[in-house]
Amino acid sequence: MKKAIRNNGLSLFFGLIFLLALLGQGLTGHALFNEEQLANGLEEISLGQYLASSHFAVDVSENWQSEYLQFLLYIMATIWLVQKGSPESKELDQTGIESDKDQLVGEHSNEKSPAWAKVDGWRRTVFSNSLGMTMGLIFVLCWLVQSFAGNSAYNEEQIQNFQQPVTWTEYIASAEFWNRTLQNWQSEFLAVGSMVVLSIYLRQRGSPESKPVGAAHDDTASTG
Amino acid sequence: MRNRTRSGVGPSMKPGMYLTVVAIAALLALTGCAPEGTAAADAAREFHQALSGSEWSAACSMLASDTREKTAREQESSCEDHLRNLQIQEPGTVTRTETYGRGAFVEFENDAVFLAAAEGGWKITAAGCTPNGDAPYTCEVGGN
Repeated sequence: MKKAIRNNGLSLFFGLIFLLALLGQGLTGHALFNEEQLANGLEEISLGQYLASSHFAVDVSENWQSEYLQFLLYIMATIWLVQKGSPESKELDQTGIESDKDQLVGEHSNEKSPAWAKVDGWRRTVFSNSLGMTMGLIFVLCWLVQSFAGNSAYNEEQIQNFQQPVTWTEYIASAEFWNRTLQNWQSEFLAVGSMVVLSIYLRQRGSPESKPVGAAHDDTASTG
Repeated sequence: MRNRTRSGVGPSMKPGMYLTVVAIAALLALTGCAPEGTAAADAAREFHQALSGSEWSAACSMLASDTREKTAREQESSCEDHLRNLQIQEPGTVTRTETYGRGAFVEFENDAVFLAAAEGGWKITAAGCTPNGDAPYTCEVGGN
């Protein structure tokens, strides 16, 4: 048990703080929603009603979609684009999907390789792209949820303001939808870009996200 | 050797299908596609019926409390007196009902009504409303 916890510490840690942060978002979001309800002369709602509302759903999904888009773009961009000196980058002469030998597929696989890495055909193709495809699928699903939940939450506010509700197609073309989307995207892209560049010149001893402390600034694809 | 068998009765739903059903149900709930639209339309109709039947107290009780107080305050009279002096035409039949969360919009042939969910059901926040482009509706009862 202790060994299992130790060997899975990273995922357990982030899983735990994710759940705590989501709980905190639910509690503070509920309090804020009820403040706005009272300010508009309307009734407060319970925590359960708030967690089941489109307001909570859109606030969660707009963040999730941008995180998965960030990872999707990062995973795919790092196949072909390089950054000299960054541990986030491949070696400058290794752009592209690389050889079967380097990727340990087919005849170059070993006994520990996953089953679909050993076979030919669609199974190898799917497994070879499974990470990007999964990130992309989750991004699309979360963005869809954001669009539907956002439309509902926006229309609830429209009605509170005695304005006409809008259709889903009107909503996804609206400033409200794109403002929510782009305010999340800009921060994700900034975070990745910052990490790519800052890790060229700065170090964090012991982290695999950093180069070794004594590595040269122009050392590319080196981790500590 | 004893054969190991799966527990449960009959074939179970594959995980992918189960997730799809849950996702569709969640989407329907999130987008306001719920039977509450009927209740909101009924509340709007009952309000207009009370007005046409000169049941001013009953009509006032159907207003959201904030709307009722605001109406009396702005008109410097009671809610009943204000409704008595209104010139709201017959609304006609309901042409559209949309419900989102705790808000509802009911459009009649000749009127539009805004409602908010409350403990006792749907309450009118504005009635006798006419569209005003993208700006808020202009309303005889409640509204901005």
